[in-house]
Amino acid sequence: MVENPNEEKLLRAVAVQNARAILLARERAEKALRESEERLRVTLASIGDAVIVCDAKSRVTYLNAVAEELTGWALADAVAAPLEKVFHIVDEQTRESVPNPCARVLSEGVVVGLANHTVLIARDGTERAIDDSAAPIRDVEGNITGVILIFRDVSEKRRSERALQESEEFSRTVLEDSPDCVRILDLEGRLQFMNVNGLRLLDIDDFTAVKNQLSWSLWPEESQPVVQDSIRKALGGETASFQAFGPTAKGRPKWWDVILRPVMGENAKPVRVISVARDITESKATQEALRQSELFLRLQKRSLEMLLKGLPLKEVLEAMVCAMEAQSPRKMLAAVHLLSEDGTRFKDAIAPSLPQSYRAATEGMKIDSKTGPCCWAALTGDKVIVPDVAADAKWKAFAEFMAPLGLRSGWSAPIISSQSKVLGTFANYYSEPGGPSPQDLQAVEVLARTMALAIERKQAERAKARLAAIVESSDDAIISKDLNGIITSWNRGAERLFGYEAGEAIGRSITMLIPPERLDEEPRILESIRRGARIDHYETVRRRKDGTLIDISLTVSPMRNDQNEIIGASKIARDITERKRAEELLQSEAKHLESLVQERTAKLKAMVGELEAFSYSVSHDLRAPLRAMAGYAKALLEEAPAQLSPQHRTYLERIQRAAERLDRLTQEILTYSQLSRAEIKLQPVNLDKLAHEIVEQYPELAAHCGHIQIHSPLLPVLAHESLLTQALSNLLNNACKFVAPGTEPKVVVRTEEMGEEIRIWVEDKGIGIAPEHRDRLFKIFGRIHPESKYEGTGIGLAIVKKVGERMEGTTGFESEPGKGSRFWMQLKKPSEL
Amino acid sequence: MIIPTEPIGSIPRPPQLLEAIAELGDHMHPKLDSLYEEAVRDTIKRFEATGSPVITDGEQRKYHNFWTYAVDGLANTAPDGFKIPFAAGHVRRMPRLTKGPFRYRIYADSYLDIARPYAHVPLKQAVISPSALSLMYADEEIPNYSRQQFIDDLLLEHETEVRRCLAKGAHKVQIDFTEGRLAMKLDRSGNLLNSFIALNNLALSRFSAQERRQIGVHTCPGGDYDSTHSADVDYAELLPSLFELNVGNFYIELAGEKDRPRVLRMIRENLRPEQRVFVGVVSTINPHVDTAEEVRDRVLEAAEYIPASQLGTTDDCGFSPFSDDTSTTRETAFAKIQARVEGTRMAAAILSKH
Repeated sequence: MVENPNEEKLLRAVAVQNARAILLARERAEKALRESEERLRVTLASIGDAVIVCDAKSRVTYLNAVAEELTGWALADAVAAPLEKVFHIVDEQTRESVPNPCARVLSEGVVVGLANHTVLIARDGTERAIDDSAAPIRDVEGNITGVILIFRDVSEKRRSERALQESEEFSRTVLEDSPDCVRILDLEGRLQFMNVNGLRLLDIDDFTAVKNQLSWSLWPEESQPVVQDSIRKALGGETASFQAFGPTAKGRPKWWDVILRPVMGENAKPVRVISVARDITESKATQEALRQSELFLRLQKRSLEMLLKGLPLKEVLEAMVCAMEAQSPRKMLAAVHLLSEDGTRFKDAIAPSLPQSYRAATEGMKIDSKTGPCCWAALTGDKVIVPDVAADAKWKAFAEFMAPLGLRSGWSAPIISSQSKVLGTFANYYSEPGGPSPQDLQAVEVLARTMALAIERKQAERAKARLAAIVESSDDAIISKDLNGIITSWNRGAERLFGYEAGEAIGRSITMLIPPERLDEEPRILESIRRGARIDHYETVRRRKDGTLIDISLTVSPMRNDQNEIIGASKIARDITERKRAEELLQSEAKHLESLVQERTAKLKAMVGELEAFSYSVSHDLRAPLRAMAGYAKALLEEAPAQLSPQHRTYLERIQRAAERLDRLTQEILTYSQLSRAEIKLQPVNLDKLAHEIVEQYPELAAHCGHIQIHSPLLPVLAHESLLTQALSNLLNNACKFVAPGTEPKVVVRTEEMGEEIRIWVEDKGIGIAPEHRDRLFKIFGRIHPESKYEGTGIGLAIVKKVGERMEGTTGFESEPGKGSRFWMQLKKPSEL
Repeated sequence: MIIPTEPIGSIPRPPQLLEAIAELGDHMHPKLDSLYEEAVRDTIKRFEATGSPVITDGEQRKYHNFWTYAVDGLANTAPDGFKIPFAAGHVRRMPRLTKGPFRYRIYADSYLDIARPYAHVPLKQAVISPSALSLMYADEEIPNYSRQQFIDDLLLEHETEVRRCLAKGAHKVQIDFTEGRLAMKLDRSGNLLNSFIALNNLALSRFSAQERRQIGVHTCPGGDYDSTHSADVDYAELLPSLFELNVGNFYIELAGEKDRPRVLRMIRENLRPEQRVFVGVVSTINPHVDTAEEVRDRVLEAAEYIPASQLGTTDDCGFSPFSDDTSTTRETAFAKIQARVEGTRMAAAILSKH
């Protein structure tokens, strides 16, 4: 029970007051509800769309003014009427009644939209295309108490839609015919359409494979940001464009120029996006080539400017290497290796980005070491590509060299001069495996050409400087002049020779050096020069500054410009005054000497003639007393043998032998002397026949004929038969004679073909000749054995040698003491051979 | 067939928490937060162990009580509000509003924030009725703050609280309306009860029919220290008005009623088709732990009067609505809940066969 009656009373009072407040609150809420309902009614009445409200039995309870107009039913007439009566709808195309949406709303409790192409037939038969929906009306408990039908006249919109549809059909036809890739994207950027040409350009066989995909997802990752951004702009109502790389479905690389335009719907808001992509791969490639070409042109220009400024070649090449590295899309390190003058080894390495160890290792490297692609490029004169140093055992040494540098691939191009000489190599290295792109190769080729140009220019400068130094330091006067004879250069030699300083001479006519009586020479010289002819060592006279004349030797050559046009002449003038003087002196001496020679020759000839006559007469005249001495001695021996004592007989025999020997000697001296003077005519001689006759007919030899072996047939020779007989018989005599006592001689005669000549061998097994005697063997009276041991005059071999010489041949021998000798005479072959 | 079964809300708090509160002398001391959270975690764990398909956080943080948790500690209140007398002789006193405007200090959805991470089955949340809090505006008019303004603020705060709970996924939001019977006790004319019903209906009218299917109203004689404040008021005086509330669910104390068939008949006569009634099948003030069979029989008994499609089971009341955490132990509470769950399932199985 309540603790305190007063408190209970109080509580009750509070409850009563609360009840009043609650009642008031409820009244306020109900009022608010009523106001809300009124607002709703007014809203429905004033709404722009037609509104029909039905109860749960599909009977009309309310129409707003628009609904009255469209249906032709007044509210008062329509209330309680079945909805189908007031709201008579048919299908626009089939003309069949369309199911009333209210029935479905009431049964399913869902919002129902009208089917497309719905036509409302008003009470007076007027037809209007309508478009709208029906929704359930629920009470506070959520029970469906009716249906609200909201609709509008869309006849005009339907006409517009038809027009739009036709327009879209037209647009679609246009799009299909477009040579570009045309895409239509929805508001999420998903691909909804692509024309046939687009599918072809992108190598897409089946559009359904890409339909509904987010458009940017079809682009490569690197292109997606710009594509997304452009689509976003187009969806925002702007026209956007971009150029991007995107390969086809089959991976063909393509560049695209894309324009995206929003397609505006109602309310001027984009409803879709049209994207037109043009294949610009070719023009992009052209642009790229152009860009690269411009880049290289700039680089060439810059390099040439650097050269013109006189910067060192290394600095120029270094700038080019750096430029190449900078323009490479991939991380690349480049190096230039210059070849030594003899082209056998690398000299300087220009590799600013590579470590010092690289330069140290490559400078001085022999190219035939074949260590890396640069060696091969220098050796073969062709570019060498190494896509992966680790993939080919050929590059093992190179791979080991590159590993510490973190490099895996590279290529090298030879730097070739305009004269097709390899000047060096240009190498590009990469840290990843892979081959060069066509652009890479083109870049390397262009740069290598530019480098060749730079190197050649530098070499030309050096050569020019060397030439200038040579010209300047020459003792000769080196002068150039134009085709009008005006002096254009003047070296120190010219200053010394002519006495004019360069400043005095340059710009003046060359005729200042020509004595007046020789002025006609200059026009002739200039005329020759204009014709391109060179004048060599033209000796003339020129005048020095001091007026003295000097003898000079002049060589004048045409000078040509780069177009090979003759622009002047270079003259080299040498002072020949001294030489002239010496020549004159020499000439007079020569003349004097010649007269002396002629005089002495005449004397000698006379002396020789006398000597020959003397020796002939001596030989001839001596023989008569000798023959008398021998004859008388013989007569005594034969006619008075009895009167002769044995001693006398011996004396007589000695006289006889001595006379005979002296006669032989005299005869041989006569023969020898005749050999020098006799006129001989060489003709083919049948040596084989001749040799056999000699052996058979010569009495000294006949005794030994069994021991002389002729290797027939002996080859014919070009000779004088009598002289050859003399020589051959002498040789055979010696071969039979010089044998050890008690030994049978053994002789072989044979011939040997020696090119255009025939060597006649006479070989024996005799006593041989000691080496110390070789030199005097063929000399007259060159005996090497005492006559007591081996009979002879000491002239035989001298005659053999002389005969050989007269028959334009040679003579010699080979010998070994105790084993025999081999004499030979080498004569020409007869021509018929 | 499944007969839904749900708890009412409160579970006695664990001793550790109670000791700490006693020691600190302030049930809102920040140092207690971790202990409160541990109590919630343990309660949910044990609740789920009973097999109850729907659980609560045991209202562990509604320490003050289920009635004034939202306003306890407000600066514009005084402790000398109305006293709620109980049959056992003790009273509970409401705070009195001293000046406007009226605002809740705590919305019950904050309890869901703590409980949700631990729960594996649906959580329901109990809130206090606007009618209960309407008694905070005392007899005298508050200067510059009319009773009209107070009622408007009260409705707004209640609506806010219910919407917040629904938004945080409460399986049901249960409005505790134990003052219904008390109203009849105070005012036999029924005017006070009618005004309470009107006030609560004003609040419920702010929700859609769909939302109201997730809202229920609980009524009981008001248990505290195993006693009630209005058990002496006949249900016959209450139920016809109670069912005028535009709400989808009712949670009605029944197990503790002496003549259950009579009450069931009254329910049957007043229950509307779109409404479900959860009848109490375990008594929260009777220390006897109901068996599953007893529960089963009570459910079967209820099913004789109420269509099974509109029937559910519940506890008669919370086990500790006024922070009486010792009269009934946690073990007893969970044992009774388990009996409710099992008994209901047994009854459903039997009813399925018919």
